[in-house]
Amino acid sequence: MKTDFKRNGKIWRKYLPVLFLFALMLSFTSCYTDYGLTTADYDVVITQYDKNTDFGVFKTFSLVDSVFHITGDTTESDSDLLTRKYDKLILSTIRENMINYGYTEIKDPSDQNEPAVVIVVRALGTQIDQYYYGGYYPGWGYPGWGYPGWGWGGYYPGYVGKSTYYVGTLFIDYFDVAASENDLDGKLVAPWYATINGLLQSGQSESRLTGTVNQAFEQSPYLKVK
Amino acid sequence: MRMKYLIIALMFLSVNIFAQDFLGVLSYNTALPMGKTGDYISDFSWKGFSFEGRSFTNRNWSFGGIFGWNIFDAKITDLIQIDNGDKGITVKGTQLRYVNSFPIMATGHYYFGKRKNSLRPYLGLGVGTYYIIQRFDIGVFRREVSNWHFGLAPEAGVLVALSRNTSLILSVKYNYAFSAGKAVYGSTDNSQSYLGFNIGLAFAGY
Repeated sequence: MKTDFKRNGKIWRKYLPVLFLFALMLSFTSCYTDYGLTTADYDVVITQYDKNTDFGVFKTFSLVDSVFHITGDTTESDSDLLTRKYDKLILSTIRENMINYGYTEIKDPSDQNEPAVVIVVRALGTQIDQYYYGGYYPGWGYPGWGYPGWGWGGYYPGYVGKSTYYVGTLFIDYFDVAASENDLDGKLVAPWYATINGLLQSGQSESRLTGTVNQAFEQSPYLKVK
Repeated sequence: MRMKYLIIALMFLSVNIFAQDFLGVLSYNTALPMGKTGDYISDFSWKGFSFEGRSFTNRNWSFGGIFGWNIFDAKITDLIQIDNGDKGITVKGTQLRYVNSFPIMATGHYYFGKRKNSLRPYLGLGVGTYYIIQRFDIGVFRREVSNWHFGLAPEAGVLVALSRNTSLILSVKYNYAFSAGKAVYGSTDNSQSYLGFNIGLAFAGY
């Protein structure tokens, strides 16, 4: 018994480095921690403004009363991927933010009653197919929509699956009416615009839409009427 | 594939552990990001390891090689402000930032004191490359760059004898990867650096 025990001890010592390394590797679980992101974490709000524009001089606005759904096919009026369910919510949230920033809304604009700013909202739905390779190295962290062929320069161990996700993009354009009328090339001048991008998924859509539209205005304090 | 490389490297290492005057070192590595790496990710890294072989040429000098892996990551929700001439751009979204650094280096070490001492401080230098992958995720967008950097890694450490063949090894290593390619955020200065705090086991061979 004593001899066996000694022998086992030697074997144990011999494999200690291997066990040590495995313990280390297991402790990593992933080289790309996914941080357990929620759908809302995939929302991005981008705003851009023209630094030469004095936004303080604009005091009135009109909101085009529907959201344009951008489709590849011009004969189709609606996108398959987007619902019209949230159009009113989007427009009312923008209206609220503009009024909070001190703008006065002109509901029935005419040549005699022209707003300083016209806001146009467009929406685009995009389907993205993502091929991923999983199952070979469990725990090495492939997010569902991961980078194809991660590592190993073009060596693909084989298709394992495909995931499809839908991305929605909302464009809010803020047109300067006077500048657009005076533009020599006849272009519309938008000194500010916001692009909101996120996953199209059921659940929390209302709060995500109002949250991101509010965020677009919050991160653009220069829009406030002086 | 990656597992295969690790196993091959491990086999190489275990052969050498039993060779003469050889030290096989397995380390758990933590790291403090510095310089450009720290600007991109300031969070301390608790994820890293390395394995190393050191062959003694005399009582005080060893030469060998090291392969390591350090992982840095951070979740950031701050606004990004970009100045683009007449345009001011602001971006809000959850950002995931990652840096994976793989040092592959030749090393030289000088040990103070006698071989049988239970405590042996040493100084070392690694010269070689870092393969560094930088990734930036925001929303459904991803940007990733990877580059091979020339690098230097000065090191100070100590071997603490646990038994005749096994030592605890503690070391501090400054990792500096010279600029190569472009950083993931577009900068042409893509030098990377971090201070590693390492703890491991060293196995002596006969």
